[in-house]
Amino acid sequence: MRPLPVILGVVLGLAAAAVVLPMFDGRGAPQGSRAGPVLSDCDGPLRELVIHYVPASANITAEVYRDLLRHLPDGVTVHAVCPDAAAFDDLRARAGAVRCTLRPVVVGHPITTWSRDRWLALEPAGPGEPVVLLAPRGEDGADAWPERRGDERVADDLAADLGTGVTATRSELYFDGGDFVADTETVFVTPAVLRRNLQRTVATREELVERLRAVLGRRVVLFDEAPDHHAGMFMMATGDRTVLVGDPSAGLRVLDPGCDGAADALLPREGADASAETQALFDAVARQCAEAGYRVVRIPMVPGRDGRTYLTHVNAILDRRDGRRVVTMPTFRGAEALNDAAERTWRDLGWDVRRVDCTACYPHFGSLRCLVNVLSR
Amino acid sequence: MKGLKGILTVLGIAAGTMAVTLALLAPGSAGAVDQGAMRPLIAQPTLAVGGCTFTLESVEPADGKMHLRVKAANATDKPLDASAWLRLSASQKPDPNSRVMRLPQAVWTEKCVASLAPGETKTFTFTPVLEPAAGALLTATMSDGSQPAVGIARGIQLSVQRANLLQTNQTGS
Repeated sequence: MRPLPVILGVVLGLAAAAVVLPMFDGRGAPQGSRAGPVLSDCDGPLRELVIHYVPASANITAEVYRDLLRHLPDGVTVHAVCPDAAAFDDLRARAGAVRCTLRPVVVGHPITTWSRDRWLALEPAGPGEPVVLLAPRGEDGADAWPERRGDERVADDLAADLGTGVTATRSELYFDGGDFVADTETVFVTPAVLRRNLQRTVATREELVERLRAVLGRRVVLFDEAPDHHAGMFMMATGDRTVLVGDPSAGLRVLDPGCDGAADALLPREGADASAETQALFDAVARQCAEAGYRVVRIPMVPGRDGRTYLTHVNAILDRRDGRRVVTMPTFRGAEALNDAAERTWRDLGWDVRRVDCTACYPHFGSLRCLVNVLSR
Repeated sequence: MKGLKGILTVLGIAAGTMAVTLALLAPGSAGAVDQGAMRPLIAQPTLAVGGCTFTLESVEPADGKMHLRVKAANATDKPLDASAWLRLSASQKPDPNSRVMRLPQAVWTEKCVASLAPGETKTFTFTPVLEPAAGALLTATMSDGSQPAVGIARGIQLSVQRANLLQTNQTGS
């Protein structure tokens, strides 16, 4: 064989491989499917949401879903993950007339009502590419908690139901979806993700940050200090390099100006947390966001001493469409002064506010954003 | 005809070169992720304190107690003293509607102090007696206080089993 065709063939082959290789995933990236960056919490119009509905938990979710669904415009599709068809019928009856499209995803196994933590949505890698649902390696407590075991399957359930537009993949890392808040530049990550993965899936903090950056496709700010809760309970990205961060002392001044226990009544498990230690954790989040180059706006908020029950108005769903910014914000009966103060904070940032009564669900350690995941914008 | 044969030759060699290159360089490229394709978990977490490496080798229930085995290794050519805090935390079982686990509470802490000759390795065993509530979730961690704690690398579900075993053993004894 003459050498020229061989050389030419090898050169062509190497060039083609160089073009194709970047399409294969590197370490930490979801394998088997290409993916874009993690979906922003605050940019673009909502297109598809995912909720879980379990009739046995209707007492904590039905009112929330009814209010939310009635606020959503047409053009938004809400996929309702239900254990069976009867559950979906029950949800539809409770929701009443809505403008959005409400469709069932019947999974045939137990689930919890909390959609947010089950997966992260990664944007399509390009035109015609699917949304990738990135599920954690496993769920805390799955062996002792059948509904949580069922939650592990929901990303696959959705991909199977929604067809070619959505694929699911499983991360090598442990996390809850609520551990992350993102805009188009940065993803903020709670210390819990480090605790759950250090010396378990990764050797060092640096390795974790690198793997998160690779898989989420955005700059990673891994908090060294933060309240021990999901990120969406104490902060939210609002666009334009701005974040809202909770302020417990401001919240208590609003909710309990006479210091007569008004806040404790709304946090019956152990009362409101007015400790300097907890305030310092919220302040640490604000400081770390500022160090990352963000404008930080504080919003009044009241956490409970149990470390889990929060009266928080950042646990919200943000929608930007047709030049308007609309935030669907949780509210709490008996906390009207706090609701109003939080609404003013959102409005000052240019967001129109729609209210959803989350009185029934917040004692169970989550609020509106915890119940609702965003699949696409 | 001769020209066509030459083009086919070039394309054939190119295809072969590309296939070999991708086979050699593409990282884990085929198919969707499944558990079998994942890298294994780190079974024994380690904590470096000075020149000493503490390894949490095992956390197992037996005889109504928890048995923690920790190995301390001095890889330096000098004697050293080092310590790490061991901690067991328990979370109460949440109600089915809860979004997250309740915050864990420390139920046992102990300082593991190692005095090691150059190159020496010692193994320490701790056997705390616990009375966790039935179904409580146990997690073992170690830390020197200046860096993030590292835990036994098996997760809460195994801790549940451990707690249940412990409860069974206590009931039976």
